[in-house]
Amino acid sequence: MDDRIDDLIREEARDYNEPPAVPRAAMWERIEMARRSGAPVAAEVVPITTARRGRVAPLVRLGIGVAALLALGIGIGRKIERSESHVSPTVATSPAPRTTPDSAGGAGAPAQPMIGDAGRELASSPSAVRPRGEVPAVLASRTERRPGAEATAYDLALGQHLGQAETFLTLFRSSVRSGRMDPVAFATARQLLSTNRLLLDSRAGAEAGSRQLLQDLELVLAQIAQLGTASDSSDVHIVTDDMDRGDVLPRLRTAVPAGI
Amino acid sequence: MDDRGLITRVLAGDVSAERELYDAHVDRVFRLVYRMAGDLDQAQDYVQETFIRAFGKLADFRGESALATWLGSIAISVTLNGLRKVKRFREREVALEDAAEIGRTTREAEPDLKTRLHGAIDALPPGYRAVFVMHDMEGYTHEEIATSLGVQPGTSKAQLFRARAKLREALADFVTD
Repeated sequence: MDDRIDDLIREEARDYNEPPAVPRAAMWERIEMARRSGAPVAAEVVPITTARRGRVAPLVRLGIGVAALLALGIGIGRKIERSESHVSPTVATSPAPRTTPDSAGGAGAPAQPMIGDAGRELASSPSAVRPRGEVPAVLASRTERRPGAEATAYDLALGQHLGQAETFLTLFRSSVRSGRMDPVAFATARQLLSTNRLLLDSRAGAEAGSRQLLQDLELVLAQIAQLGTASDSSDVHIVTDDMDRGDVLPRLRTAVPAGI
Repeated sequence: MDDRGLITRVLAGDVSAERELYDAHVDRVFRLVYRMAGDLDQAQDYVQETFIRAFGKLADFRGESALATWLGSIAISVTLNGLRKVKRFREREVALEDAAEIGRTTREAEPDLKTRLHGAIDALPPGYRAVFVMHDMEGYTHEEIATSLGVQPGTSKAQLFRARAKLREALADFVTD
């Protein structure tokens, strides 16, 4: 009986996700381009317009999730900051870390060691697979500076935000490619933009590497947020061109901690 | 030319050899990736990522398995990682225990056996689905699957067994009718 069903399953499963003709030339062109530029091609693209999958709800959840997480992260961070300053005032008198020429971001904030290196690493490293639990350079420098849960709260909020932004931009680019824009994308961009600005104004955006990435991300999100459904394709392509020029997606992938 | 010769030429910087290697293996890689992803955009991206990684790591390829198997392992890793990300975002996957339920609860809405089967395959956990697709649909051996997924051949067989059991369960009342 089981054998009969197995045969039936094999027979009927034959056209499960039946592959179309292989787009050899198109893929090879992009492989060559990516290899020449040394940048990774887009992976894990989630087409926003695939009819058989849900579209609206995840995008709405994305924004809500980001906002909630950010609020939680900042709340925890501030609470801990207050308690640390009350209990341990010596933190403020610790010697300032070495200043680096790249640490221009964060006016008034002391420059951090390794910030320049972390920024360069963020900008240049490929989106290689990072072992689970390994902290990316930008976040690692933050963790070194701030002990304990405070660092964790900010890093968590920043990591989650960058992860959500990466997923959103991947979706956005895919929808541009398929020529069908989802109006929800503009609202999501606005939500992400708000979160991005809050992070830029918080200690999460005090370090040069993070700040640079958040600023570039802000530009892209602002452009998307200003697009309307009536925007013509040239407007949309200006945004995607800006994304490509600034390597925003590869940099986000590099910065997002594994597991987020 | 055999794979070994092709690899040597690629490592020596012969660009035409890269294209030859790609042409020789892209169909099989694409079929597998598309079967898993079920979406052309995603499939193309995963295939591209597979070959970029493969060219980048080719010097590390020691020939312990066939080049096709090695490429398959990269492809399946890239694809599963990508689909995991999609799953987290879309929450479209259902738990293993729900695979059979899909068949039962949607019977009236989806009277077509094929539709129900495809839904049940979609609902399999990614690892089970990978083994089922690779073995029953794309003709990979358990040894190749084991190498690709980094498991023992026995694990591959066990996962195929469980995947089929879940699919049988999903279709049971259909078949007995």
